[in-house]
Amino acid sequence: MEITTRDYKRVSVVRVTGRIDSSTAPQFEEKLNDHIKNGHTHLVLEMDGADYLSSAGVRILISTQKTLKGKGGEVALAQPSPRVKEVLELAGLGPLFHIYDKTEAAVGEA
Amino acid sequence: MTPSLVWIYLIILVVALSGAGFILYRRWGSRRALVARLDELSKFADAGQRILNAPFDLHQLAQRIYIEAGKIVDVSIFQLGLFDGDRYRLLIWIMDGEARPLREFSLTPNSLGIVGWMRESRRSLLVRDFEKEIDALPAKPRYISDDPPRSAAFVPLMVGDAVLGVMAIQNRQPDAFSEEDLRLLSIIANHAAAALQNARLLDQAQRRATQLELLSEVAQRINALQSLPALYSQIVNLIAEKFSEYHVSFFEIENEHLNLRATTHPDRLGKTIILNIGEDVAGKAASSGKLVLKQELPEYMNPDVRQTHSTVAIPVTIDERVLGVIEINSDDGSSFDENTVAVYNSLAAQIAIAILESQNYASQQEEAWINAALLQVAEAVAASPSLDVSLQTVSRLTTLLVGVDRVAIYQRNDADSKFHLTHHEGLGDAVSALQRSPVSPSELGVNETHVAAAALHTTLPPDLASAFECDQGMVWSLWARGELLGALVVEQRDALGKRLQILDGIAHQLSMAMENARLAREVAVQQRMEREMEVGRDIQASFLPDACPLIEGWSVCSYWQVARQVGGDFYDFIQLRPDEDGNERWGIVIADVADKGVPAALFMALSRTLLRSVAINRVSPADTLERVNQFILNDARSNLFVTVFYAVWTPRTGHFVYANGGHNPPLLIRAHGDSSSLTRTGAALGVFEEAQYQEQEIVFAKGDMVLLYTDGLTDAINAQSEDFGLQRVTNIAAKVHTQSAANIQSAIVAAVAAHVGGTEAFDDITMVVVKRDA
Repeated sequence: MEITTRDYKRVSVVRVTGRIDSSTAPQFEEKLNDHIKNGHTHLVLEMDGADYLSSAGVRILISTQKTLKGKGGEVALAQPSPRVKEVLELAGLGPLFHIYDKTEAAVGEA
Repeated sequence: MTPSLVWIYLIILVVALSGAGFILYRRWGSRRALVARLDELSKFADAGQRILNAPFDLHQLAQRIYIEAGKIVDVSIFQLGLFDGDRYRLLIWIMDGEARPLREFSLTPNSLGIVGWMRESRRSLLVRDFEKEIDALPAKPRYISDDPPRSAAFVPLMVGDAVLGVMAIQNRQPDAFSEEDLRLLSIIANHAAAALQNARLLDQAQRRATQLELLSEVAQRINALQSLPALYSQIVNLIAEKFSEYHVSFFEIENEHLNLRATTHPDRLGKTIILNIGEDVAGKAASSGKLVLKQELPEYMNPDVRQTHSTVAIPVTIDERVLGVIEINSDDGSSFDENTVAVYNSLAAQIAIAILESQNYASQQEEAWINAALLQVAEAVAASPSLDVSLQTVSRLTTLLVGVDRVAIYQRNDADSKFHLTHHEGLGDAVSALQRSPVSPSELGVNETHVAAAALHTTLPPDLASAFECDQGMVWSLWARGELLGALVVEQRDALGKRLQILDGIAHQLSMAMENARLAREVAVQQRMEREMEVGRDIQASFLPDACPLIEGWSVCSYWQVARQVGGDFYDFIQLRPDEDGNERWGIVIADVADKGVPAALFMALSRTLLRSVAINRVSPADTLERVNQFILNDARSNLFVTVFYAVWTPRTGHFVYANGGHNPPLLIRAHGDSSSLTRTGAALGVFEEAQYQEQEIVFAKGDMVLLYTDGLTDAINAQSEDFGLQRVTNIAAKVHTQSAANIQSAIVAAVAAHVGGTEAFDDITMVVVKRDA
């Protein structure tokens, strides 16, 4: 799993690639928490390179969304890989997130 | 309230209202007739009108009829009453111009009196002189008086063919009433009857509507899962408040006695009242299992006010088992009519379910707590870098988890074969002295040659007794592989209850930790790790069913393989109540909690407990998941969620009704080889506040099978990080689906093992196979 970040005026785009499973989830969570601690309330997760998303990863998406919504912000998903889409669809969690086909659209909406 | 009960009530309501409509129609018709009569009887022009326009209150209406009758004849002795079953209830009673307290009479077949005769014959009766006519009367007056009336006019109050009641006017003079009077009174009676019937129906309908509202409100409010004492006090308060009853109490049946658990009666609050089964009103309800009605207060209450009240005791029963009794005291004996009784009975049924649910919940929570506590100890032991740290952590955890203040852990030293105090909690300054003086095992009551399974209650050696500030202690000897390793000593406490199980478990784990320390000294560290992990797995496994249901014509099997970490998969078989035809029913669960480690395992324990206690009283999988979702959200202290597939399976009929809360869709393979997925019918649990679930049904034919699995199966990867995938699972299952459930399962297990090769599994794999063989 690799994580890189691009900061825009009102939103940070977090690009995550590789496998998000129970062994990499803690790093993923830490990275997102850093953003929240630094006062970022609008995040876009760019996930076209995320090959695998385990339930531990989904849990982090949910908790991040809860935290940010509480601060008046949100985390949106951009360019999700088929795998990520499938996992969210399977658990019925799609409605929890705004999902964009293009990162630009997500940044524009934020 | 069950839907069928609602329908019955609705139907009763509709019938009552259409009856009222009919009466209104009649009233309209008879009003036309009255107009015709009024031409010749102009002096009564207003009488019928006034009666018909009277307020819909029975007593006010009776008052109005009395006034109107008074315009025709002398009404210094006047009675008007209505029949209610085999009782006759007065609405007004005037004696020599004075109102008398209202009474009611029972009409026994042997002594019907004139009133009873009128109900049967539907005729009016004019008595010119009782003294002369007494032998010729069709019925005898019921009263005996020194100064009886001499003449009387009795007029039935009729609607259609039914006699609602009687208007009786009497006089101390003979010949006070004429045939003409009787005819005029009959006209008034005719209208009075219609108006009374309207008032009575409206009264009943209103009462019924209010009761239904209250019933539904009370039922909803008691439906929330809560502790028993809170539930009991809510029940009594709600009934008293909502039904405006005088006092309400709840008795719980325990050890063949009725114990007062909650009451709204100020004199009884906080008092211990224990009744025998069969004793007093409540006890009789408990012994008979039926509602008991008594026209006075129970015997244990103040005798001065008893006579003016009434009491109803309603048994709260489920499956013919009496769980408790609700006792309601009323200051108005008439308030317990048939309708009220029916409402209370259905309320009692609701309450029974709420109580049963709370009881299940309480006992399962306790079980979950013990498991969770042991899991915590196991994790602490596994996570500790050394035996020393393990033992210190365990001694501290013991005080926290069990609620004792003092703990001592002794280890046996091979050099002197004595027990040395190595770890302790809550012993204060006495420790250094104790540490300097090792004890022999026998001083702690420990037998050096026999493995003791449970705690010994023993008199402590003097030094230890003074440090513990008590003479008696509980001692667990710690053994591993037939070797005595040490002892755990805890102060003697009464009423530890199930916490004793936790102590047993802790002792077991201490033995293991000590044993591991030995092993570590002897063999590689790797082995110790394996062993510790085993402890974690053992505890996790204790959440899972011991066996699969054994059902003729079916094969059911399950598979569970844990990854390195403690995970969150579970499956469950819950034996449910049989259906209406007595067919056996099972709840089948497969679920996966997000994440790994202790939080996931604890959340899994919680989810399993909730599912069990909710499922056991429900037949709808969708309802069950909805309710569990609410409970999880109420209870959730973390952001964990759980995917659950839950089905209610009736083996005899092959029906399999399911709801899928975001879980990997189980695979259905029909006997002829077609496959399909039992896809999601709602979201994962613990995420959305108002999550709704749909229900689907399949019917198993001979040769059909369902494979339930968790994502550990489809996501198992090989060295090239390739998923095993649903396609492979489907292909293998389709190839072997004609074989038994066990063979199908083995084929899948073998295939996934071949795929994974030497790669270490990173997720649990759980499967359940259900197949109809015949």
